[in-house]
Amino acid sequence: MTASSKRPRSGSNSMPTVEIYYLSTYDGYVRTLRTPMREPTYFVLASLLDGPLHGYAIIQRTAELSGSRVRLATGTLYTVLDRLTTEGRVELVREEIVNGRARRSYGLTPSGADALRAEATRMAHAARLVTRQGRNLGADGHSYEMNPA
Amino acid sequence: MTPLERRCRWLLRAYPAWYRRDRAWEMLDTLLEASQPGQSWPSLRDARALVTGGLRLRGWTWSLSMLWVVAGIVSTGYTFYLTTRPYTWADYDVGIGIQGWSTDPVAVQTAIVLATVASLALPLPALIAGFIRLRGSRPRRWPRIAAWAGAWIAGFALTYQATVWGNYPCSATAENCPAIPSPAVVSWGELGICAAWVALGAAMTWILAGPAHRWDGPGASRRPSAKPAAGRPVP
Repeated sequence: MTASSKRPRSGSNSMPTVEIYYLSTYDGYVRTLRTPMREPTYFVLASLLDGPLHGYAIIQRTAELSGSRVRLATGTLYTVLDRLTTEGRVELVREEIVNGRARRSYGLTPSGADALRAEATRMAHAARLVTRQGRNLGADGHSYEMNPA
Repeated sequence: MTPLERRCRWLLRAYPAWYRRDRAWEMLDTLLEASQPGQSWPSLRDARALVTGGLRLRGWTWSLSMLWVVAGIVSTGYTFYLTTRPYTWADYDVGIGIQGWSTDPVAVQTAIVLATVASLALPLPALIAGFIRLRGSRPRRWPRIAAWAGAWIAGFALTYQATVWGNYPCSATAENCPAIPSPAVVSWGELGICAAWVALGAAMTWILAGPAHRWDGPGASRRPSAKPAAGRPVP
């Protein structure tokens, strides 16, 4: 009941598919479409750009990329991973056993990479409004002429 | 097993069983890896994240029902405690009965008021939420829906019985109750109701077991070749 599983199938059958949502999940679906990506989500996806990582490596890499601003707790990480897996942005790549415990590595799917790129473009656009040439702040920190009177 | 590992496993119980079967070993690995050497308690941040994550997966319905159960336990426990206290006519309030409220610490009084409000306000929302939740799980599980209705009736019966047993023989007027025994007649039945509430909580947890929505997590879509959890107890 997620974005990924609700995409109408294209194929020989060209009948439009009717999607039925329960209210709660529909609300969640609409919300994921409209809201900008949350910061932890963004950094988790960005941490996977260089290849699949396992849980703790994602936490480390996220902290590294964000300059220690995003410090994910284990529970939060798996909440994010669950959501991203359900949305098809991230997938389980391999599973190995370390110290007798499962260690799963997650990788970015093409859809995840797209979403990450779209978000980066959106933020770059927003940033350019402020940082572009000719929009520099004055020496006194004001962006407009102060009235001398 | 180190103390830290034991405590992490205990914290992981915040997650529902179906989720733990799939994820607990992996999360334990991450928790232990993220901890400092020599650390013997999980950090407060981690604990909070695990509890909120667990509650989120268990869902609103479960949380509401457990609040109701806790309210039931608190109010019957308090009624039992009330009946163990000796009391006099000065404690007796016509129409209300014996109350221990005014002499108890403020925290206890607040807890009792909250428990009373919760046990009045929660049953109906919990019943409806349970039906909606079980309706959403496919294929429809009629036995579970029936069990949910049964559990709700049982909870209602427990609340009713608690008030009956908690009442003093003469709750209406002082005239038809010439002598109040002091020390009081201890109502052991209330403790039984407390135990019944605990059992009812476990039953409700069982009825609501399983994901609230369809689960597309890593273990659900594809079976991993290496399955470390097989044959091992879930932490």
